[in-house]
Amino acid sequence: MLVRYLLAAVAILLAGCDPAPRPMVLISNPWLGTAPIINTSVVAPASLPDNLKIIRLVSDSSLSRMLSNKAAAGAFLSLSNALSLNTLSENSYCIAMITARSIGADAILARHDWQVDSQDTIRVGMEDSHLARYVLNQWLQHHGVSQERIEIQALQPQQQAAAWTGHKVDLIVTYEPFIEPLRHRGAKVIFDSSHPTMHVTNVLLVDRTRWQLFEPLVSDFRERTWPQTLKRLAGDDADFMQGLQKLSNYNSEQLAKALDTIEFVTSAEQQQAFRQLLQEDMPKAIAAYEATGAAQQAAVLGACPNIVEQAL
Amino acid sequence: MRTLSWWQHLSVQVTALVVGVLTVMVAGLAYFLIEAQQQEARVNAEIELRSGLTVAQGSFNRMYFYQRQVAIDELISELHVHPRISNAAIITPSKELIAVYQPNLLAGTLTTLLNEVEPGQLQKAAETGASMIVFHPQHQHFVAIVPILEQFTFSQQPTPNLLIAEYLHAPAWYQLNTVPWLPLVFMFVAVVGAGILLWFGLQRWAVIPAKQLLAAMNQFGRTGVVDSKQLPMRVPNEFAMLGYKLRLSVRERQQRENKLRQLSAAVEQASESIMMTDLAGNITYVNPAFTEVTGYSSAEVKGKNPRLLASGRTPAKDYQQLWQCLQQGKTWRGELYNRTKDGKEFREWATISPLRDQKGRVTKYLASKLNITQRVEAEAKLEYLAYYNPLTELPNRVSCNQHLARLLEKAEAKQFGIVALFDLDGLQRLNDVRGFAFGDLVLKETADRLRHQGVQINNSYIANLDSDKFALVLPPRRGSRKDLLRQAKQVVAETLAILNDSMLIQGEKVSITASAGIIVYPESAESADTIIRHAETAVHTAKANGGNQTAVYDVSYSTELEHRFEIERELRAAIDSGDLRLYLQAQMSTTGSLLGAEALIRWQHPERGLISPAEFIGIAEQTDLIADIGDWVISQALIELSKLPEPLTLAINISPRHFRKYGFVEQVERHLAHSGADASRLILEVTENLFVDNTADIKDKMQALQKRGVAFSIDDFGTGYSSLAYLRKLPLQELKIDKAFVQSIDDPSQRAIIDSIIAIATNLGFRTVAEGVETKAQADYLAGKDKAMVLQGYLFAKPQPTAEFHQRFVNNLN
Repeated sequence: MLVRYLLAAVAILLAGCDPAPRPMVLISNPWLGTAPIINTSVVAPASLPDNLKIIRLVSDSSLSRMLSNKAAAGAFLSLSNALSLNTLSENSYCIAMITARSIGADAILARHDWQVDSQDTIRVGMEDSHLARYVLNQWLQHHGVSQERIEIQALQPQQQAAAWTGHKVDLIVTYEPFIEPLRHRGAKVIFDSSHPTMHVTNVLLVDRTRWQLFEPLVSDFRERTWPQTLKRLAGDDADFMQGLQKLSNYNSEQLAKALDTIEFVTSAEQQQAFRQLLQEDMPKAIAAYEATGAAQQAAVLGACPNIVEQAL
Repeated sequence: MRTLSWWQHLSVQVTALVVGVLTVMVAGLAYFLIEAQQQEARVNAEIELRSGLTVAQGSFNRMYFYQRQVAIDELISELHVHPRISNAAIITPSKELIAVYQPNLLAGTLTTLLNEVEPGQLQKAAETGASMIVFHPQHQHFVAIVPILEQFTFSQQPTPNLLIAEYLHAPAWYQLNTVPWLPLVFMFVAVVGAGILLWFGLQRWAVIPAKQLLAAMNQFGRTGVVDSKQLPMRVPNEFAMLGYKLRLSVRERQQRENKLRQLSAAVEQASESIMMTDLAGNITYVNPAFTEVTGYSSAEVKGKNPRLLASGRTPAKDYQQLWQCLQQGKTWRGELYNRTKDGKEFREWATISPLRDQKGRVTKYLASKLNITQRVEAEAKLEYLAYYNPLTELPNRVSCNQHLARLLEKAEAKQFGIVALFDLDGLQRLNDVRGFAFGDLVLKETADRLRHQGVQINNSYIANLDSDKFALVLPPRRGSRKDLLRQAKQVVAETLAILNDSMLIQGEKVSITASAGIIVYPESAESADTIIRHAETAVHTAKANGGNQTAVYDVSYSTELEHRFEIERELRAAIDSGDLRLYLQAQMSTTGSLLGAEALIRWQHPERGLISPAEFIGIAEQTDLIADIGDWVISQALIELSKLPEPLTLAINISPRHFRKYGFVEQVERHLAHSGADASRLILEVTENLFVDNTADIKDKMQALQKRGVAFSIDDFGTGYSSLAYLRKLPLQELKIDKAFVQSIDDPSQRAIIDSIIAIATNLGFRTVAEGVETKAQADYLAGKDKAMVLQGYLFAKPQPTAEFHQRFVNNLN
């Protein structure tokens, strides 16, 4: 009886000592497709699951670094970048959610008077990311331009305007909300993700080793936060939209126009989107990735456990 | 408190105590572990924050130094990836924003942080260049202020910007994954183990002994005993001592109770009545003896004053002394006259004592009272018995002596008094025949007659000296001795006449005579005792003279009496010392052959030589001494008979007094069995006086012995009781002609008697024995009358010792 009582007392004492759950940190690049998520954490933090922290980084390279060094458990990023990270990390990630498709939000801009037919070297300013290479490679293939003519200049998105103004580059591979500022400086979009050959899908990539721990959080995010976010976005919630403008430095018109180039995938569409991603987009992305010469064989990205229904 | 509630049990209390202590220990342990871990976590967090910011500080400095400010936003945003960094920004000491993480700016959290930070801290960090990390427990975060060098100029002192970062650090609950499980488990096990050991130890050395003691006390309460095996005698602590003391106490209590029980029983069962009162004198306790004596029950007297018993005869001064003693704390002893419930007075010897408590204070009075009424009565009775004969209720010898002594003291010169002693004749024989009860009635009647006679004589004094010896004492008075003696003889004669009158005892008319002895005093003796003794001598003289006579004491009486007394005394001694001898005298046939012998006794006196039976048998026959002598003769004679060859017979003389004794038949049978003698050759010779009275008893005894084969002979036939009727009634076989007739055989008249006796014997079929045959003529005459006659006398042989008899007659026969 004594031993039983002591064990009960200890159990009661230790029951209050549950370890504080380690917060799940998700990161994103400044792409406008992830801005609503960042905005929700700013405008309506209660909509986010507890212990979920979402940070917007300034570039894909920063994102890749934070993800690679395990500072973040997951990231909102393009399928191309995801495939690259997964291949480099030897299949350490899985896809937990499909958030959006870029139907024009990724683009290549050039000066108005720039002609692709010239045999001159083409100076391209872009982020050091596979998405940028993918976009550029698709443009090169479309126009039959040799890669030897390309001279890459790594530019962070916030550096692009200065490089453009200083005529240091001929082309800039970028994405919203950095397209409009370049347009404002006289650049024009010569190729974007709305092109039929382009398939740019944004996904939530999660460290496979931490998936089991964070699956409830992701599930909560997908089933609660994400619909509320899209609802606010669709409902033109003034506060939400105002926050979104501040994050993008766009006015309402620019924002609306930019948002038109993004197709958000709702929670209800997740299964269909995964089906399309895994059956259609993934093979293409792998092929494109391998075509860039980054790796001979890309590591196939799969859906995280329990995400995709068995029928798939 | 008859029973204990569950929580009052020592086992529960000990368990609760141990569990409580263990709980506190475990809780304290947990608290200190958590506290230590949180302390460590905070230190670690600070170290992590400091090291992270140190790197960031270097990066920012280098960005500014190398003009790479474009990367500042990137680094700011990357800082936010850290799970605990919720804000990071570069500001001026005056809180102007240089580089921020825009979402936080939009959310307002950065502004809140900046408002929280005191400007002084920012200034100090900027001025000193030293990083500052402060923990704000109320906000559960660290605030770090790290100086960042924005530019480097020669001309002026650089004013650093500041990297401000908010690092969340909630005092998180216990981190199980960081728990030092091994030592913790070890410690927990040690604590629990110690607790269990403590619990078991307390159980073994405290709880169980306490239970055992409680059980022992309960057992003692129920049964009054304690099983020592159940006591905790072996535990090494005070409980063992407690158990030992309890056992000791129980034993002492049992001893005290036993003692108390014994005392109580002694008081309850005491024959003395015991009463206890309070100090006010009210009765609080009485024992059964009190109730038995007084008739009052305990309930009737409790609370009442003992004076309810008072008869009023106890002197008032006795009560005063009683209370005086008690008030002085002393014991009072005295006699109380009390009264029973039914009013009967009784006397008590009371011992009344104060009872004291342990402090010596008198709390009660205890009275122990012995009912002495019976004792006083018994003493009076004893006194009466000492001075009076209980049967006749006359003064006894002692009284008589005292009375006589008093008379002697008062006697004056020339005054003479008379003492007359009366001794009933034949009372002994009457006792033997009718029994003592009958004799007692005769004595009472005699006493009544004497008492009545005494009343007729002035100043006379009647006493009953012995059973059948009465005294009439006449006080001294003046007068001539001769006249007084004459008057006394007249009074004695009258008294004897009164006594001789027949008396009706148990419907039987009895006539009894008395002998009287008279003495004149004080001339014959000067002491009362001597006077009485001389009077007795005179009585004996009168009795010796045949009874129913009066003898006046003469000095010569005393001499004769002394002689008789001496013979009697020495004869008794002779029986024991073996001085008596058995002699045998041959009995012959007319043809001269031996037919048997008669056993005769001789006394071989150590000084006077052989003494004839004529000298002592007469004296012995006056007392029961004759029975003792007869018993000795029978025993010795039967031994001799067993030695005589058949068909020789042996005749033994039996005194009438001896024959009448109760148990005579059994005595003879016992000697026959002891000696092995043939009863059919035994002849018991009795005299005619045996048949004077109570012939029925005599006849029964004779017939009883005859059945065994014993024959009876009438000795000295014709010299005594001359009734011939008994010859037919009694079982006789032989007539013995007295030697006086035989030795006078020459006288024709005597010869006619002999002839008649022979004729009677012949006609009745009896054998005839003639004794005292001394001449041949006598023998021839007798043989001529009866050829079967047995002859005995000196002609044939004198009585001779048995050895000589055997040598002369028996050995020759063989």
